[in-house]
Amino acid sequence: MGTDLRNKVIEVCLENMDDKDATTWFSGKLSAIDQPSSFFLAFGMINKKIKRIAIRSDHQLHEALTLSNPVFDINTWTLDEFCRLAFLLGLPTNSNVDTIKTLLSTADIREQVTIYKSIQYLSNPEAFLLQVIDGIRTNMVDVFDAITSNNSYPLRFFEESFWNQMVLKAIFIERPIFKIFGIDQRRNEKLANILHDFVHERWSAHRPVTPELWRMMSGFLNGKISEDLKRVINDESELGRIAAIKVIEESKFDNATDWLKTQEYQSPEMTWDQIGLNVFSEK
Amino acid sequence: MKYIDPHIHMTSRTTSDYEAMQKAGIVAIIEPAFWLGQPRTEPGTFKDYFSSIVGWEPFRASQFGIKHYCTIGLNSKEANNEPLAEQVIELLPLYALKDNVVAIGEIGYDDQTDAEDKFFRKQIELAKEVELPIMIHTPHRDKKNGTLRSMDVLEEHQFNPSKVVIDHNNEETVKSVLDRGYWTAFTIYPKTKMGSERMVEIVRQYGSERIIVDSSADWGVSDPLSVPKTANLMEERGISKEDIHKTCYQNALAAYGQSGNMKESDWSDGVNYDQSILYGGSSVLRGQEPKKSSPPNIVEN
Repeated sequence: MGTDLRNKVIEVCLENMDDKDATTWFSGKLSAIDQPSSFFLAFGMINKKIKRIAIRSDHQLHEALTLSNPVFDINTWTLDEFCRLAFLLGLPTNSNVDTIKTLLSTADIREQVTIYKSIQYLSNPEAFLLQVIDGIRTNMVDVFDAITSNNSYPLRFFEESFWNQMVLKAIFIERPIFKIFGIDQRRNEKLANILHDFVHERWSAHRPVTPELWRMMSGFLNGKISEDLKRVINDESELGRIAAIKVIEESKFDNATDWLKTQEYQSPEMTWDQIGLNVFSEK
Repeated sequence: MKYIDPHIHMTSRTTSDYEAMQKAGIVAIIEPAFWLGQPRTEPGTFKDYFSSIVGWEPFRASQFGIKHYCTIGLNSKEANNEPLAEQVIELLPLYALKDNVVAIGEIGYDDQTDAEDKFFRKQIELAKEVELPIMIHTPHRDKKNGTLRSMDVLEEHQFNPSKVVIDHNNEETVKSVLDRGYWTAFTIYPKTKMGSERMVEIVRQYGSERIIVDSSADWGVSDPLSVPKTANLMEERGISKEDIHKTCYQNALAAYGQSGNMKESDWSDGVNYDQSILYGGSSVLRGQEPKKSSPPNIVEN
């Protein structure tokens, strides 16, 4: 898969370049990179040589990239980033971990974003687990988003404790969880309980909680969480109310289901992703 | 009015400074790599410092709507630890091409030693190779000779004066620096460098061509609002709007814009990552809303 994918990426890079200087420079570098130092220099020079423009892709590329990442979206890439992806794909698998580790430790924000978006397409993504987990610890929102939005890496490689930390942090720093690939598939009881505690911390501090959070409770209702949901249905924002009703309907936990029947309510039509979209368009 | 502070060390400053700067109209800043007040003893501490000024600090600034750039270099003071300096020089190519790097700097002389001279020259050559402007730090002691010597060495290396900003000038150095074609910067820093009243007189006498005002605010007693304050004083004392705009905004942009990494569009529509493309135009909250003022003893919840 490796070389085919790289050739496809290179082809799309070249198709999207509108000046000859960029094409000449990029084509020249593709064959000239033979050691880490020339790779670092070329990776850095992208800044000066390649425009930050949106790219058009084609069906073949889409097919090749969705093999690793079913939620690949060309609109989340710019040409300079895509050229960097081509360079990253060209690194030999036996040494790419060391090279990319060095690169990450000296990277600017834009480079970090690109690297974290790219790792999932390498032929040995599992070798970068520690780097990606470290990436989640960042305070730079763009870097965090690069791992949590349109990225298959966490779903494929994070074990439950890291997955939970990631979701919790996303909620904590007010990033959208509906963009995390596999968010429903990886729901778990531990996360639901951690979030229950989080909700009470927020409420004690007289702070609201994001309606997106209730999505993680679905299927894990217990007495305590049911009480939280009842409170949300009575007191919280419209979106919170919709989310809480949805969880109760999905969970089939008798205590809550029976209570809901005694309330006046409408069965929500909104999907979880629509709720997420609404949360972030209100901000 | 909008301002650029082309020399300020935000690593040493607080978020209150960022808020005040934003309120005062500062839209972009340049953070030169410099001495942190205490000598470093390991190359790794330089590396982490460089990483922070190409990554973390730009993010921190963006939360206040301020666009952050930096310069990369080995400062003259720490060039005197030669074994360490050799290792730091090896690091520079890894950082010189980063997204927000607008010059090699601040470099030049401190005590004017042989070691300083050696690493100054090496970095002039690096700037040529990566096609970046240079920011020159002129010494506190023996300033006039240090300034002249910096220009002599740059010319010996055939570096184009129009791509060099000579910083920390005073009444004694301004004429020769301007005459030789360099961008001529002044640091408004209490007690040790220039006061804002002296700055007004310099602009009155020499005009605004190639003259730049900065704060060099750092870990010492200094003022991150030096640029807007000096601009206000210039206005009070009858300096034209155009001269103020050039010395407190436009000239810095023209000088460092030669790097190709600094453009007005970087801040005119907000300072975030390429949000419009990445998020398909959907509104996703980034950074913070400008803060409202609270009663004196209330810390916002």
